[in-house]
Amino acid sequence: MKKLLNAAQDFMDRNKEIPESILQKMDDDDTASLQKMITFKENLKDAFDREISTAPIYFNPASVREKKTASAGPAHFSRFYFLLSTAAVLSIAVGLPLSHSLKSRKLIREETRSFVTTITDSTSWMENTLDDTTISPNWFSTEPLGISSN
Amino acid sequence: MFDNLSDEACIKRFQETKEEAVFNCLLNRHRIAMRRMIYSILKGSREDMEDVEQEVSLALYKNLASFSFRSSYSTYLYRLCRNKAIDFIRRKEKQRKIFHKTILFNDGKQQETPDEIAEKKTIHDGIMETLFQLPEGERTLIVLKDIEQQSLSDIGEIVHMPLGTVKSRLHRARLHASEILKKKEII
Repeated sequence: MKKLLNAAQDFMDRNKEIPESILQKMDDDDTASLQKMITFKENLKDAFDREISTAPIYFNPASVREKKTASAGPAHFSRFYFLLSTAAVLSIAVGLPLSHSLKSRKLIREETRSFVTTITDSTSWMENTLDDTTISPNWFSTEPLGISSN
Repeated sequence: MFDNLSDEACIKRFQETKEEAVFNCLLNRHRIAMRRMIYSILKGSREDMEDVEQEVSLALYKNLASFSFRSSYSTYLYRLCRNKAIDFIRRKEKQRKIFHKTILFNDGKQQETPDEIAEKKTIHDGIMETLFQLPEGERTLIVLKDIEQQSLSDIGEIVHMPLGTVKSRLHRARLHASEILKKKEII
């Protein structure tokens, strides 16, 4: 039955009278709804007219401009500086630890590099090691340990 | 003074001369429609309506200089009124959340006596109450169509909706209003 209500409203939208054929097909509930809709529409303008002032508007741009700058100025100013200070605090909070960590990384890298260079450049440690390693001829002997062939 | 000029001619003249008188003429020509639109969205708050009216006037004064006539002036004005009123409600809602206690105290002061409530039970009040019980979208559609007599396509442009959606939502809004009226048993 909503189809009939919609069809009736189509006529309302076009400011035309709703045809009898549609009204006759409607049940009591739809007729009551349509009646309320029409009453609502008819009275709405009057209801507004009772509420709305018809007094003319006098708009003075100069006065509004003054009011605007006086009231909105400081708010914009403080908002801008609030954002600026937040950005500064954030960049310090993130930047300081980051730079420290970068510096220490660089230091560690340099230290490691110099350490590695000292080790690899010098061959003395190898020589020393070789000097200390004296190979005993007994190591290759097939005879049991502690038994002299002589 | 400029009554014989069309909206378009008034705007063009304002763009060229920035005359206050032309602007005020243009503003006053549509003031009732403008007030109805704002009033329906603000659910009948007169004080707030004046504030929004000021905001609309100011925005109009600033924007008319660059108005490019892509839509009609009335369509533009309805859209502006709607946007400003909705923005105002959002701002107020935000303030209400911040100053919840203050608002509650003020609301308490504005309560009406039983006599005042009984006095208000007229048909027109019932109609306005019914309208204010509808969601904002439905209220706007009803005001634009049934009071301002805007075409469905113009309404679609104002509320940024396709024609079919405007039509179905308008029908639903009227049905909704009729259901509220049935419950109220005023008419």
